Amino acid sequence: MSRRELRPPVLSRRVLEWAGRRLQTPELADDAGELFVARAGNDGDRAARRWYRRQARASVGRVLFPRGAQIRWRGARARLRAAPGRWRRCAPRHTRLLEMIVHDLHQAQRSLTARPGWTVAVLLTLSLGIGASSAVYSVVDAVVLRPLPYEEPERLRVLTGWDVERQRELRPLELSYPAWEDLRHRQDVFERLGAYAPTWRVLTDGVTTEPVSAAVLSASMLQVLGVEPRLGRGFAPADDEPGAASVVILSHGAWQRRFAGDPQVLGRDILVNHEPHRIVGVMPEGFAFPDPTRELWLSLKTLPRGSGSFLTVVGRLAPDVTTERAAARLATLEIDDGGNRRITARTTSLQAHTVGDVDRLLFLLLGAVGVVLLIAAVNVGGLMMSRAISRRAEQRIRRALGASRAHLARAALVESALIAAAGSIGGLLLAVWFTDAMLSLRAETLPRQGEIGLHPRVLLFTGLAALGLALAAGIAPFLDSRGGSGGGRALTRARGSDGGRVSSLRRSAPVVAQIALTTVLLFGAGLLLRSLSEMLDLARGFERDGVVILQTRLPQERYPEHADKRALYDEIEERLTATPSVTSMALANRQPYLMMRVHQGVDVERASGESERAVVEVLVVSAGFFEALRVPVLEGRLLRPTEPQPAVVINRTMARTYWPEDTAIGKRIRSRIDPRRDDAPPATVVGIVADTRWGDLEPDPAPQVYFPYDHRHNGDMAAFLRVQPGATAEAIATTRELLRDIDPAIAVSELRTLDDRLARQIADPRFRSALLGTFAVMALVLTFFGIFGVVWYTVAASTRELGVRKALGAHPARLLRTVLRRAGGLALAGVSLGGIGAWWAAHLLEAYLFEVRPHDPWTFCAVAALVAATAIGAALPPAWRAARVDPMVVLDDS
Amino acid sequence: MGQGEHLGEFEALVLTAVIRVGQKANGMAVYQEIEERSGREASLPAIHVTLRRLEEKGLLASVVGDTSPRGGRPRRFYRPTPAGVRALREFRAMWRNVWKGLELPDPETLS
Repeated sequence: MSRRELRPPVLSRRVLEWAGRRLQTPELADDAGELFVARAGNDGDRAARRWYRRQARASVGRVLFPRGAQIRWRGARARLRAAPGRWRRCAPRHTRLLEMIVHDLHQAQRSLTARPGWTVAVLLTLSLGIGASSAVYSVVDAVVLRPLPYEEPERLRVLTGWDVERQRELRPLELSYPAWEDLRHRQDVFERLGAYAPTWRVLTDGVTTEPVSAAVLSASMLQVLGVEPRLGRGFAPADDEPGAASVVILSHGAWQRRFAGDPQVLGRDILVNHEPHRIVGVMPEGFAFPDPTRELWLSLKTLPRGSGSFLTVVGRLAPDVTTERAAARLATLEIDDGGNRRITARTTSLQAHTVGDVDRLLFLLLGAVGVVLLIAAVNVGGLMMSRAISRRAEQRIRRALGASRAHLARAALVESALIAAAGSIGGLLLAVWFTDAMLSLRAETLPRQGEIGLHPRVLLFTGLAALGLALAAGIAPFLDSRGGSGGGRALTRARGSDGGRVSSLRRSAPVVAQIALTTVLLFGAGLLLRSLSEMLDLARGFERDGVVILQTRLPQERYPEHADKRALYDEIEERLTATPSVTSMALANRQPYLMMRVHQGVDVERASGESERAVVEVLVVSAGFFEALRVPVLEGRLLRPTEPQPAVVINRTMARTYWPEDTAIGKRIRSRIDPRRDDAPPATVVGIVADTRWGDLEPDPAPQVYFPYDHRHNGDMAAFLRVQPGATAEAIATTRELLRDIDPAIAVSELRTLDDRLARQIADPRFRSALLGTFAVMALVLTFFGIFGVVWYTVAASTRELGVRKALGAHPARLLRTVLRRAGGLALAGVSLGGIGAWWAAHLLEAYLFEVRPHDPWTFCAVAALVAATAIGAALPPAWRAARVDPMVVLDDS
Repeated sequence: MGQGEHLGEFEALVLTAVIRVGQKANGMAVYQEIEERSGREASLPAIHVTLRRLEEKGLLASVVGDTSPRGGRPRRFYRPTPAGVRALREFRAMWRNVWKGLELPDPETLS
């Protein structure tokens, strides 16, 4: 036997040492240790350990009850059952309280497991309410409420502009390099000013080239934020100078992903935009400035010095300068933005700037989930109350046997606490899962999402929510048990119609409130869902099935001219269409679904022969574009690969707007794509095609002009690949491989189906409607059980009355109708109240609606019908029970 | 010991054990003695607390011995005071009186 392993259990030893100190018997632990060794020799290790633990437990009892009233858990309960009154009088006070609580806990557990259906209903309600609200709160807390993870974040301000003449705010204020330099030297309210510009770069690692999200930072920027790199250094003023060596700072994520967290990464060179940059620093985990997508930070050196840079300025207020004083000082400081506007600076907090307008949506969701929580509370209260009535006789017997009101209250409280504790655990598990689900719905566009998690404040929130629910649950039965006095009516049954008007109101008011709140939520969710379906159904004018979009970023120095790019695109097309998965390829200068329209001015020749300036949506497309996207031609012809004369195609809206009576074919349009070539020859309209909605979600199509892709266009083009049905994945893989083969320096910034692209465009609306829809469904389910519980309760409470009516000849169908009518009345009242609430709440959603009016009557009717059906459905089982009441119950024991 | 104050059952048990163990009566030895005699598991903390209380009542006296062989803290050894022995005698006399001439019925015959 190895003596070394023979040690008493650590925790118990600590307990014994502690007890020894408290009892002033210092040798206790030593003695116990020696006896432990002796015991292990005789009875074996396990028995010795058990003995040791028993001794430790006994010592706790000694400390807690020094006067000798030993706490014997089981024995106490038995004694209590045998003679509660006598025992309570003779036991010391504190022993009594603890034993009572143990007793109550046991009692609670027994009574909960005795009614599994009821318990599951309560726990589910609690978990749903707590889980959903904790999840939403954890997002709100991380994104909106918690201060930014910088040093003294409340002193950080972002500059916005103020157009003095037009009295208009310019947000964001983006400064050119000279303006930034000028402002930096003239201001005196900030301790330090920093500037940044979000950008993107392509990163080459020898095998592949991919675009990465980056940001240019001034040397002072990290100091303004008060963040130190985890490895290496930040930018120094010397790095900003035009002749300085190219340096780069990595994000923690990029360091982990691309360099496997190699601590020797400093000093290595990486190819950024095909030029070597030296890695000088790695930022700590969680540094997400200006947003979490950034993988690299570059010095100001990389920006052009002239007017072509767009810097956002962040400042740290000097210690003695208030926001107001800063505003007053900045109002006198004019900024030279290169134009001829008079602009002064204003400031907004970095927090507000980072969060943007997502806070409104999040608070809206928090409100919605708060409603769910409220319904859950009402529901749990209702469930508790309905149980209280079924236990009324039991309570009366207990009171008759001498249980005080305080005792019964404590028992109820212990039971509520037990339920609340179990519900919170379920709720927390649900919250973790729910938060993940929420983030996956809106993974790309939510700011500060890296900070979301079960923060202590979230746990506090959960605790408070659970406490509120426990109180609601614990108090509800008392509203009911107030009437039951002492032993007088102890053993008689609950009286037939014991409620009367007041109690009936007390029971229906929560149900009506639930129905009303659910109606409001459902109406909101209905509006958002209708908007979403309008967006999806919006006739785009082109066929997106079976189309893959490919956006490349070409290295400018290898493909400087149109002819170089053209040759490359031709090669890609030739080789791709030779593969079995791709049938055709077309080009356009812009991707669809970019949430913006690019409007340009063109000169159109009206029927009268006059030239008129028109602002239209301009697209530059290759000849195969219309076939590839199945845009039908309505009149004339499509563009050809080579046009001898300048030619354009317009859409129907354009033709109707500018040539309403005459045909547009043969009319002339002069492009202003390149302002330096204003003398470009006017192009002739050769064809009219159907309208497409290429950019933003706008219900009305814009007038469009399609210019052919020719030597005047030297930008990167988006390619549209029409693929064989079912070969999408294969086409994407082939394309990626092919591009790497043609030129590894080509970065692919987008290669996905048009469907995926659309899904990203509607990510926000989908997020809103999915969440609000989920909450509304939760509310509906909870309300269903709420109505069910209350009607069941009412039926149970009026069994005698129903029995009498039946004995007097009432038809079962009539009783059924009576109960259903009552439920219908509740539903009507709830829906009416909810309608008023919905009318008001719809305005909150107005900004999120698309093609649906906030007071859409159809949505409201559908919601009202759904709620009414739910109410009737929930009332059916109890109504059925009412109809089948046995008249014998009246005779029974009355 | 104040007049009219009687030994409790457990106190008497502990006091007897101290006398039986003799010279080496510390908490551990008393525990082993009680367990052996009564055939039941005792509570070590209860024994310690009782030893201390008996000492407070003046029924036991104690001296601190040498450091224990294990290297723990020094042991405290108890011996009975005259008052302690007197109290135990009283306790024994009381129980003798209680038992004198008493025939216990056979439990099986009681319903």
